[in-house]
Order: sequence, then structure tokens, then C-alpha cells
Amino acid sequence: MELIKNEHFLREYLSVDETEDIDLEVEENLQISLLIANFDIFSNRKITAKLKENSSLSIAVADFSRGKGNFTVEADILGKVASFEIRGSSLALKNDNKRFDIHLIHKFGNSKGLVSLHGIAGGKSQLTFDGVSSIEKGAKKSNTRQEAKIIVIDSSAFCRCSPSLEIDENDVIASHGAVEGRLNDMELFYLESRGIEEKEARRLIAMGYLSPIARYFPNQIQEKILTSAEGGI
Amino acid sequence: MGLLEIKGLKVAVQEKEILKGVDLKIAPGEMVALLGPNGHGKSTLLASIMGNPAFQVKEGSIDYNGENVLSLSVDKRSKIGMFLAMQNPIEIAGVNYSDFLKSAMNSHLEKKLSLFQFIRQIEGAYKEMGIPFEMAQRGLNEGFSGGEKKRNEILQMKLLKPSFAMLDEIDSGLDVDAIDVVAKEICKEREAGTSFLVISHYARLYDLIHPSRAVVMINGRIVTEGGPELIKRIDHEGYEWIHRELGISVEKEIDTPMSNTSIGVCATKEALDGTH
Ligand SMILES: Nc1ncnc2c1ncn2[C@@H]1O[C@H](COP(=O)(O)OP(=O)(O)O)[C@@H](O)[C@H]1O
Ligand SMILES: [Mg+2]
Repeated sequence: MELIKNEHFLREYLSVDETEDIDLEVEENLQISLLIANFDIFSNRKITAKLKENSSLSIAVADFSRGKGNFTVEADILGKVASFEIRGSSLALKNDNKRFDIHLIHKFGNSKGLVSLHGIAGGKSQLTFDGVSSIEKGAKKSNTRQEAKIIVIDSSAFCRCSPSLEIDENDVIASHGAVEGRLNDMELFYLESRGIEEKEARRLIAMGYLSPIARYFPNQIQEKILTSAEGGI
Repeated sequence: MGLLEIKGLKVAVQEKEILKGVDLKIAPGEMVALLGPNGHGKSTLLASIMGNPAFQVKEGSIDYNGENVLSLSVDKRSKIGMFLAMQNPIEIAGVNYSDFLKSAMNSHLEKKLSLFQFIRQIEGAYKEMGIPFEMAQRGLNEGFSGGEKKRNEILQMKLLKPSFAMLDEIDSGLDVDAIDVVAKEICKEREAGTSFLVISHYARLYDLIHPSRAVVMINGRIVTEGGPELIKRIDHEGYEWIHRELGISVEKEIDTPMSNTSIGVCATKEALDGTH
């Protein structure tokens, strides 16, 4: 993990093709962003984070690797007005079996959480998004959102999305959405009706799923993300 | 030979027959208005001509320049010059609008456009359509307002230069100024030789684009046709007179799950009453 930006209350870390676990304590008033890109091997990995008052942690995960394992994130919000975000895009192909497990606990109020995962499953792969965001009693005015979306591009691939919420406090905003699906016929029809061939239409839609994660990364990694997405599809 | 020739077309959606034997011929250079109450199959006809997989063609034929359209894939139909501006253009999250335009334009060309040629062409088209150029960097129709989607459909038409364009309620959701812009583009394309089949509920659009002929669809069939005076008549009197004069009843399709409009009333008149 490389520290690529270090300003007053701002740290940015980049981890490319690494597999070791990461343990972060986000001190009061500090903002950390953690950029994780995998192009090589997918294996078990765990990210643990503790967020103190008025701190924030944003994680971006761009996963274009091959392999099997669980990518687990455990984030605890341990102070008020803290914010945790994770955005991820994953491409599963061949015999990959990838599972993303995100656990977020809001223990203090006025805190924010966002879990947003996008995936594409092709070949004989399995891709699972799982996770629980919980808001404990007393963590008033917290706001948490989970969204997960996977599309399957080959009939032999398998996907499952099961984000869930556990809320023990009334005065909060919480929402979640999960979509598992095939490439949408109406989306394909729209593109094809403009002359775009089916294969190219599928590529455009799949890139639309995977490429938005790139913007969180430095330039040379952005390029690698886009070429890996292109090459994979 | 006609440009488009449809014979005995029967189309079903989820096994429910919507089009019940449509016959329609359009000659090169024509601008045909397609009228009819809501829910009677106008959009279904346009979608079927373009090849929307939600609709199953059960019987009949569609020929374009003498070629059997039904055996062509959707992208081929576009490549032989057909275009459909949809009633509800779909949003495709994450697909960059300009990437989409580039793919679409290149799919019609032997030799791909250089980046410079591409930018120059689309920049001009955005300007003429009064669409901010920044919108080219947004997701495809993602978060666009109803009117923005419609303007962008016409932008696509300008860039793809079809020989036959079908416009499905292109004016709904557009304010008066935008209708003028869209109508001007339609007239320009027509002068350049494009033929049109246009669905609208508003006399205002038809007044601006001057259809050469009007056809009326009721209960999944074209039941009558005439010159521009037919549009005026329907605008003033609705569809009731068709029932009287032609002995056709305008069915109330109460068993239709997706139809949320009252049928049998004059949609054109209703819309006009609403705006005046
Ligand atoms: N995708 C669909 N699934 C089910 N029913 C549909 C679908 N599209 C259209 N229909 C039905 O087909 C009939 C004709 O609809 P449409 O062609 O949209 O009418 P119009 O454009 O004349 O208002 C309606 O009853 C409508 O509910
Ligand atoms: Mg319609």
C-alpha cells in the first residue's frame, strides 16, 4: 500500500495487485481514501476500519483479477459525524468464484454510509455481493445506503446479491436496492436500433457498468482499468 | 415501388394480439401522420417495423425498398436507413453519450470517423439542436428530462441521416420553443429526401411539418386515410365520427393491463383543451 497523497487532513493510499489485509484507524477529523485495484490474482483479503468522530473513509475497488476467495470489509463507525463509503466494480470470468462481504456498523449518530457494488459475471464464474449495514440504537440521524447490481452475460455464470439492513434506531434514513439480471433486451434494442451490432451493444452496456469506477484512480491506473474491462468483455 | 410496404401485419405482445392486420404503403418522400386513440397500437406498429423483440410478428410482411425487413436484425434495419425516435427513450446508466454516438455513426460508415471528424460533426449538431455540448459526456439519457430525451432523439436522427424516420410522440414533453426546433430539423431532413411516419397528438407539430397524408389506426388496424384535412377533422371532432360513418366501434380495452389512458375519447382534442 502506497501513500500517494498526504495533505493536512487528507491521505490517499493506493494498493495495486496486493493481497495482504489492511487495518485502518481513521483518526478524528481525518479523511482517508483507499484505492484498491486488482488485475492479477483474487484471493482472500480483509479490510478492517475504525472511524472516529468527524472522520471519513472512502474505498474504491476495481477488481479485474482471476481467482477464488472472499473480499471482506468490516467498518465500524465509532464517532459521530463520520462517513464511510465503498464503491466497487468487479468482473468475474472463467471459473472465478468471488465473494464481496461488506459489514458496516453505525455506532454513533449523524453518520453516513454508502455501499455501492457493480458486477458482471461471465463464463462459468460465480459472483456474490453480500453485506449488512447496521445502525445501532442511539445512532440517530444516521443515513445508510446499500446498492448492488450484477448482470450475468453468459448463461453458465451465476450471481447473487443480498445486501441487507439491520436498524435498531427509528430516527435514521436507510435504503437498499439489489438487482441481479441478464443484459436488458430493451437496452440492447435501443442501441441496435441505431445500427450498433449486438456484440458492440453488449460491450457498451458492460463498459457502462464497469468503467465508472475508473475516475477514482490516478491516470495510469484508470487506463489499466479501462483496458482490462475492454479486454475482459 | 413503395418505400415501405406493410401487408396483413399481425403482431402480439405476450400472446395478446395488438395489431390485427395492418396494411400501409409509404412512397418515397412522403410524410405520413399516424393518428388514433391511445392504446390502439400505433407505438406497437413503429416498434415492430424497427424490430423490437418485445413484439412478436405473427403474420404478414414488411418490405423496405423491396427487401424483406422481417428477416433482418435490428442493426441491419438501421443500416438500410430506418430510424425510430422512441416514445420513451430508455436510460442506459454508465454508457457515455458520445461513445454511443461514435459507435452508432461508425456502424453506418465503411471507414470510421477520425476523432476530429467525429467531434466536429457532433458539435455542430448539438449547437443546431440547442443542446449543451456537455451533455455528450453524460450517461445515455441518464437523468435527462423528458424533453431532453426527445431533443436528443432528433440529434441522433440528424447524425445518422436515415432515409425513413419514424417519430413516436416526439413532441410530448417539449415546450413550444423546442417543438419549433424539432419541427425545423424534421423539415430540413425531409428536404434532404427523408420520408417520415409520425405519431403525434398535437395539431401544433403537424401544422409545422405539413404531412402529405394521414392514416388512422383503431383497434390494431388502419381504418381510414386522407389528406391533411383528416388531421384537422380529428383535431376538432375526435374519433367518434369514425364510429358513426365507418361503422367501427372504438373498443374500450378495459382488459388491457398496461393502458392507463381512457380510450374512446379524443386524445388530440383533450390535449388541445389542456393547452389552450
Ligand atoms: N411491452 C408491452 N407489454 C404488454 N402490453 C403492451 C406492451 N406494449 C404495448 N402493450 C399494449 O398494446 C396495446 C397498444 O399499445 P401501443 O401500441 O403503445 O398504443 P398507442 O401507441 O396507440 O397508444 C395497449 O393495450 C398496450 O397496453
Ligand atoms: Mg404510443
